[in-house]
Amino acid sequence: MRTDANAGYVVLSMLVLIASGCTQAPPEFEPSLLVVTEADMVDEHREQIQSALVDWFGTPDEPKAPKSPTTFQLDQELLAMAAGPAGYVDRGDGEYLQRGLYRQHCASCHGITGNGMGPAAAMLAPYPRDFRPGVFKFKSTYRAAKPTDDDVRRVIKHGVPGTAMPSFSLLDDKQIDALVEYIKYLAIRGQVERELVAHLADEFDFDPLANTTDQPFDPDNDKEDRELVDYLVAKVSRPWGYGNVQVVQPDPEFVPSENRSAAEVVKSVAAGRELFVSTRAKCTDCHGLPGSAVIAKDYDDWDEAVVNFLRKTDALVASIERREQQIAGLNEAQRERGQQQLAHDKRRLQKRKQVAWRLLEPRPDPPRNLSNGVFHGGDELIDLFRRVHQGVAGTPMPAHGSPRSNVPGSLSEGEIWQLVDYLRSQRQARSL
Amino acid sequence: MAKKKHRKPKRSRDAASLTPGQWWERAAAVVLCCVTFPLLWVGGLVTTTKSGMAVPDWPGTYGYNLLLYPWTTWLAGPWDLFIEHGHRLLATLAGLLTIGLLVLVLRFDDRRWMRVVAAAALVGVVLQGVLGGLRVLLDERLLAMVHGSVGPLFFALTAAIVVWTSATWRLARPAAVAICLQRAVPLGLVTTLLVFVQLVLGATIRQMPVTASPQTFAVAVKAHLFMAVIVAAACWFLAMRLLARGVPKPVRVFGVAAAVMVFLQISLGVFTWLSKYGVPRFAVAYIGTGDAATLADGWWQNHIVTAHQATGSALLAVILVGTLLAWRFAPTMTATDSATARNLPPTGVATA
Amino acid sequence: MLGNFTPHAVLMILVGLAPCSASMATDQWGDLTGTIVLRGAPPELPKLDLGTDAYCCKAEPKNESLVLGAEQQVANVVVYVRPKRGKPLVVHEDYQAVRDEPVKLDNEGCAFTPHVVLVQTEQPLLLKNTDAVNHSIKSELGDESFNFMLTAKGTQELSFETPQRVPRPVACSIHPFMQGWLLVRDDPYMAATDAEGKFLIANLPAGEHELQFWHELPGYLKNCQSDQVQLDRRGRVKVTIEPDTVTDLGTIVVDAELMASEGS
Repeated sequence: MRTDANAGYVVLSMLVLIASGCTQAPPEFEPSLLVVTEADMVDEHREQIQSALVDWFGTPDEPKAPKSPTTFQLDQELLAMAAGPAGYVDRGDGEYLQRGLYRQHCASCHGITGNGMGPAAAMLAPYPRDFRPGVFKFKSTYRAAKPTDDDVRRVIKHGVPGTAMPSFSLLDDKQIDALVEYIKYLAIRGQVERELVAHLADEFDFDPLANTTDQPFDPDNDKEDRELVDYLVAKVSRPWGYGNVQVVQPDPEFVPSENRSAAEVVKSVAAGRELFVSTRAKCTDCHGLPGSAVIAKDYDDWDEAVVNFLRKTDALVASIERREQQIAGLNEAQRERGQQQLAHDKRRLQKRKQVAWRLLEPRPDPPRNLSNGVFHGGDELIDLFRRVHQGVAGTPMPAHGSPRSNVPGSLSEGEIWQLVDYLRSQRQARSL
Repeated sequence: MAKKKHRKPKRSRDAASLTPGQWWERAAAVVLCCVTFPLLWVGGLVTTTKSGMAVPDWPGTYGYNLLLYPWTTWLAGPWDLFIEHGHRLLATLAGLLTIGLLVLVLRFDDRRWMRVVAAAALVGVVLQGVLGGLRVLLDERLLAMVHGSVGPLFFALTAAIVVWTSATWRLARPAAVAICLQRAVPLGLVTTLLVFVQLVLGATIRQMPVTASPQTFAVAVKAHLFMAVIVAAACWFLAMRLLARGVPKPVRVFGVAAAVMVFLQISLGVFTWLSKYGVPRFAVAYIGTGDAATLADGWWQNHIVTAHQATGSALLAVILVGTLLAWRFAPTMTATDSATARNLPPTGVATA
Repeated sequence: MLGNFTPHAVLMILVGLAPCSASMATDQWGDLTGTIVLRGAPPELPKLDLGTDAYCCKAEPKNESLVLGAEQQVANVVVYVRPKRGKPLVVHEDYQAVRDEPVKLDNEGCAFTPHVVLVQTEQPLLLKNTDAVNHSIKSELGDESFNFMLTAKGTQELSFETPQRVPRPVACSIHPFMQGWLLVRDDPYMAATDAEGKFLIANLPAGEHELQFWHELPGYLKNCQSDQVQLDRRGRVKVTIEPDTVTDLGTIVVDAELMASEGS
């Protein structure tokens, strides 16, 4: 009898276990761990920021286009197509609406939050893009400007050759539009989160030692807090509306004509090669002389944030060790204060280590190997022109053209076109 | 593929040495096995093309009874619907065939264990169907993984039933090189287990939830690569034993199949990565990155990935069947046999 | 820099955070001064990895992340006023006169001179390169980020719309060992300590102000103190400026451990 009853309990508990394993909570946006930890905030503020973000931006299953008092507005219908679990929902009249495009096609690399930390991320080089800082590399606009919709669309449609980013040309236009919209949404959300963290860490009263605050962040009830979020949403969204007027337009006078003679092209390529190896353009400092290896000097902005985070964590470890040795030699009042500070710093270190473990190991940003003719941002002449002209945002590749319209850059447009001809000739040389 | 080779020359012998009832029983087993493999393939496509949730309800399809869903809509509808509904139809067919097989076995097979096996097959196929349905209803990745791992087991079982119902199995006589084959059996069992573990690892990678951490995925991929080396070595040694001189032909066929398929499988694995993520970082220095971006959900990508998964199941079946046949041709180990088998190498060394 | 055409001002008013024009006229002004010194053994600075550039190797720039005077006075500490949100400071006419004069940031001997450059919004920042070698100049300033080439002996002029909370790093992508700092603020009330560790902010409107103290190694000079003032955990202190007097904050002491423990 008793053993039977026990067996029953075992079976029952196993069923409960299985059932609980089967209930799947809908995925949530992850807080920006690095930014939040760096800010040394109190937990209350961290949570309040996350809940404010849910109020303004919704969840991965039900995103909201935040209302911003600028002319720029995300399209709610497109967002819905990209969000949620992959599949279709019943519209109620027998028609089914597409859902979950982002989760189906993007999230396994770029992550639910768009933080570039999807499951496959660590295995890829370069790492998948983290959308949250709102910086995009391959675009037609001035360096600090946002990409146009067409720029994002182009990357999705054609992929990034030489990286794990595939071409999604099999999706239809509406589907790609939905993904473009959702990427902008993730970028805006990520940037607003950063701004909120920076603002609270800088302006709000709180006591990190005691992990308490007497100034809660409460946009639901506090008018000033609500205005702050509205202001930041507007500030972050606004530049997305200006992509199209920030496109780098080459001066028609210098654009190489399509019916150049072969001799003209050869001449231009030769001039381009001379520029490439010159100390004026300094291309070879990083890209190496033709045929030799590239020289990675620095990290891109995404990895640099991680490098700095790890460096500071190491500095904190060393500091804690030093202070622990010194503490015995202090007088009583100093010792008490020192102990308190040490205890706090140890908690900070603990948090930093937990975060450090989850970050992707930073890698120096390799300059493109230009001799193989594989160009990440497109291989049309105009793509290469813009790449040389404005450099690559977020990376060590500097702009060689004018940093803004109507001022001379370090190279003239004519010279940039010669470089472009030379770079293209490398590709042709390879495919022959 | 490998079984075809094995089956074809056997047909006439089957016909000659099997009673008509046994012949029908065997025919049902072969058909079931032949339906299960495409079922696995299409199931793989469901995962690859992420069509799993293209039909949100179960057991019906968009409110229709599974079998009454308008076939025109099925054929002309979106690709993911075609795949998912097709998977369900094939699965239904496999289920019906399993019932038929059980009936035939109960009617014609005098081996009691065979009746248990056929009944187990039916339980298995029903369980697998329910798992698939729950996976859709709950949209749960863990269930998808279990569903994806039980599939190959069921396929291996159908392959085993094909062998158990064959004349080769019924008429097998102990082989001349019994000791060699006897030693292949434990290795074969271990290899079967290793291949299955590798399949589960593969399913883990395939069904990795998008909320998993990059570290988790990296560990799974590295474990899969490490296991690939182990499995390849195990398959190679097993193949060597199954191909030893004097081993009966039916066993040898599976030795060749194991060697060929493990090679094919590893190649498919490499191409799976290449077609999905491009050239891995460590290899870029040697072979470059390639000119064009890979095409997401392109025909090649989808079929290479699916082939990798399906070939894994086929490899499992081949290893299992090879092991069963080895055991059949060298069934019992007498005390002296096993002592000799165990002591051979040291004795050899000592006498040398 | 790029968005001159944006309805920035309209937006600001819309959301009620507008920097209304000078809140109140005043003719009472005072100066603020002080000195920063380091107590304890300074942390060892890593030697710069100058790479292979012949010009830079010859110029041999030094690590300037901590520059100390003869008595351990700390140079390049940035001191600036933090006006309340929406309440910009009244600016003295002496500043108005020089508002359009560009602030210079030179690339000299493969180092940024000055090491810390302070610029107001809308004020021109003249980027120079007096070296015979090309540099790039890079700073990450959100929507006003830049990274472009400065040819040998070349110049380029920028201006910014958005103030920054703290100084932002300035770097050169070609010579990653080069490091400078750039602070953009809405008003001219900011200063960096000189080689004697001394700062002077002249002509502050009389009244109470919150001051921010920052240095590149620890970031905020948290909990540092002098005989007169005690900075809080974010390196801030409230100070009342009396008319027509020089308010001296005394010698603010920075513990060497603080310099070594954070790093910004």
